Amino acid sequence: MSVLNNKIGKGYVLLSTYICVAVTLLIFIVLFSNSYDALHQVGLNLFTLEWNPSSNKFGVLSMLYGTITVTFIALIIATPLGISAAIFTSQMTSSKGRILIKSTLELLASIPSIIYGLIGIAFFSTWVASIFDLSTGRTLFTAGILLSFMILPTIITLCDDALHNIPKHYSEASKGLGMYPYEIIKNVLLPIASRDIAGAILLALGRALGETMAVMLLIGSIDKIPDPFYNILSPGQTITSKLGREIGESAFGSLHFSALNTIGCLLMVLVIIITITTQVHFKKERLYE
Amino acid sequence: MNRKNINSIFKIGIWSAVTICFGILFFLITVLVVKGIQAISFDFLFTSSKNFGAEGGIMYQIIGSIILVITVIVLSAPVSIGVAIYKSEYIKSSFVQNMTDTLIYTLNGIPSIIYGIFGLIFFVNILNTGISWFVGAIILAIMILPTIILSTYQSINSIPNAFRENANALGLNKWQVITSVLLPRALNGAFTGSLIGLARAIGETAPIMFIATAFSGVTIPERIQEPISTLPTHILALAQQATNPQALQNAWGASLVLITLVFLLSISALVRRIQFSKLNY
Amino acid sequence: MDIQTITHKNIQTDLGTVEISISNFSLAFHATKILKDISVHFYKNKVNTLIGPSGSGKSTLLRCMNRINNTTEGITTKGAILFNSKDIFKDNNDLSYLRKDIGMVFQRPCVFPKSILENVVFGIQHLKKLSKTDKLKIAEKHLKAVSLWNEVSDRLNEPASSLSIGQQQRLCIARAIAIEPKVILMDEPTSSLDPISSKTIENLIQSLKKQYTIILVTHNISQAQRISDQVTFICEGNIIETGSAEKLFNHPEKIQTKTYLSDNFCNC
Repeated sequence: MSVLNNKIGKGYVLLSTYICVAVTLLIFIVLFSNSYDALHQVGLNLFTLEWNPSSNKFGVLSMLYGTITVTFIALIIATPLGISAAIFTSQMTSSKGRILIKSTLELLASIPSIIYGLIGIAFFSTWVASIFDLSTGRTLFTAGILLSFMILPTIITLCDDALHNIPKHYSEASKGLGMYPYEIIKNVLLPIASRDIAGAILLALGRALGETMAVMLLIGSIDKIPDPFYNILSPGQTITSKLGREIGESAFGSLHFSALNTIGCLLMVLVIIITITTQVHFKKERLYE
Repeated sequence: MNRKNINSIFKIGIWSAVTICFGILFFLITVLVVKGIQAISFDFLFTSSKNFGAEGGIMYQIIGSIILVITVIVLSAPVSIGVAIYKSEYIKSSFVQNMTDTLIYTLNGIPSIIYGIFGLIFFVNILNTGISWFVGAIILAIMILPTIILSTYQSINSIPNAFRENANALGLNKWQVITSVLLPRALNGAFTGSLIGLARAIGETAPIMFIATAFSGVTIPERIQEPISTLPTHILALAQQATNPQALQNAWGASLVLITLVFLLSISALVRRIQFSKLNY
Repeated sequence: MDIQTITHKNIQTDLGTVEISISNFSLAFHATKILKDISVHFYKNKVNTLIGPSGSGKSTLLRCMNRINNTTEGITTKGAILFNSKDIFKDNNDLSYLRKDIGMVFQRPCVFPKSILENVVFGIQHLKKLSKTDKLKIAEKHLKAVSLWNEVSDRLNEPASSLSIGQQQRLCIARAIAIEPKVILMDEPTSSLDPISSKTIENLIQSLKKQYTIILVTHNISQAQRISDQVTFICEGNIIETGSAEKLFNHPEKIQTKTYLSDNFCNC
């Protein structure tokens, strides 16, 4: 009886794993095979500027530009804020305070992205429009701001972990040498934690790249690169916002659908590479010991 | 500038950053609560929506979200626990360990909109299920597999090897060791992981918006191949009518309800994690 | 000599019947040889002790006898370990059957996070269905056998972790004998304990041998002198000398044994 149970148990465990593997493979196969049409027929013309399905033009450069820009804006805002807040929580608060703050941040991180989108529409797009005197507040900049809010908790939590885990004897020895907190942080702690902080930023980058709902509602959904290109106060398009807007409207099996699918795959592969890199990175040995 | 001044500037900088961060947090919560409360009423919570949500309440959206996440957990938890046990107890070579880890991280990294596209192609089109709430649950279940797997695995892994050895020496076979020594802790970890995963799943829009939901006329689905209405997709529909003040107000109300559900799940998970980090096995 | 034809039950010496027979047994962990061509007998209802310096391989040899290291990667073995006329290394069937006959007590007591009663019956309840009264009877019988009953009879439902470490070790022994094995393997069972608890366990071992065969590993020579019937001295994976306790401690044959016994040092 117990031998039978042992076999059943093993079967259950193996079945679960096979299901997991099969599902993952299925996702890749389905998505890559649907990209075939576009890659075959459009090929390198994907990397042009004009997107016009009715005349078979599928240039995704404006979406790539939008993705990079919006992510860049989000990181520029969130990274200094996040690292500073992490310095605060790891070095300048009591352990009770730290737990309280980290728990609150985790709650913040769990706010669904659609709600960020709603808040962006209701407040930030109107504020941006009135401050900069624009016709519409739905710009690359607005999307970037909301995106920075979304990745901020991730950066703070991971950088705080990185700084907090540095053995105390480093900062004690530095204090013993008469160094000021600023000097200790800048010259001792940040360099030691630099790898983990880089990992945190990379992870936040991965999340920013894949974010859809908030960006879709705030970016304006116009397929063009602004003129001049650094004018982030104009509307634009990211890969995710494009997918969100058009995949429901394009006919399955058409070249249009395949093209959308292809840029989705591109994004997916990029995000997965980033995710796996950071996870492996966080497993590696620390710089100190 | 001397060292002391630089240090002071640094401190001011840090405090400013922290204030901004907390300002953001405070702003977000306040907005949701203040605006949301104005929309909440008994009617709002318990009547169905009309006119694409611009009027009426969100009763079926709440029910829909709950039905969806219950189905998600029923689908996801057993598979996740199995994979976690496999990863912890049955893998011998480190190559297979790495491959399994890569698999889990891969699933974790796929953006939510891509899951939606996959669901659209595979289920709605290839398998021809049409818009189906059950398919939506399947997709969300796949999405949160990594979360539950990793949480369960951490619990099992924290059990010292001495327990396995002693149970083995008493003649227990592998599965008996798992059920009598490891499973209680594993289930704990799975429960916590489920709460975290559900907190995420209940707020997701992109994976289900083309494959499981419809924006009007939806009540409780009676068969598998029917659409459902959920809070996040409802908020999306309302957000796109933001010029209509009634729609906007309803959006805030729905958001407050959604965020309350999410926070309940997240806080439960957090409390459990703090409790169990204090517990020594 | 064909291993299969040796029926070691017929081998009689002044130590009695052989229970386990190790025959030209070698073990390597990846490239390192840990046990080198070991041949030795262990006798029924006697305290068979393995002594030797740390790293000599005595624990490894002990753990081969219930094959508790079967999940460790990189281990290769040659030779045979005979128990019940079968080579336990050839028999790749369910090892749980082997472990019902050959039980083990570890160096550090490991009680499960359950009550005292549940710990005692933990192993046996997987072998047969037990009612509540059955469990109590089994617990009482074996807790008495390890002299723990008087101390815990009024609190059987309390967590086992509330016991002192000496009591926990006795509980682990009770748990092991509840399965009714033929052989009990003990891997330095008193090295985690204080001298008084150690003494209690040593007395316990003397009474247990009436019913079970004990194979004990210890690095404590005086302990070995106090309780052994048969002694085997292992150094660097080789058996240097083996024989009755009387003979080995009082008239050791090999010079290495003499050095080890007097100076606790082995120059193999």
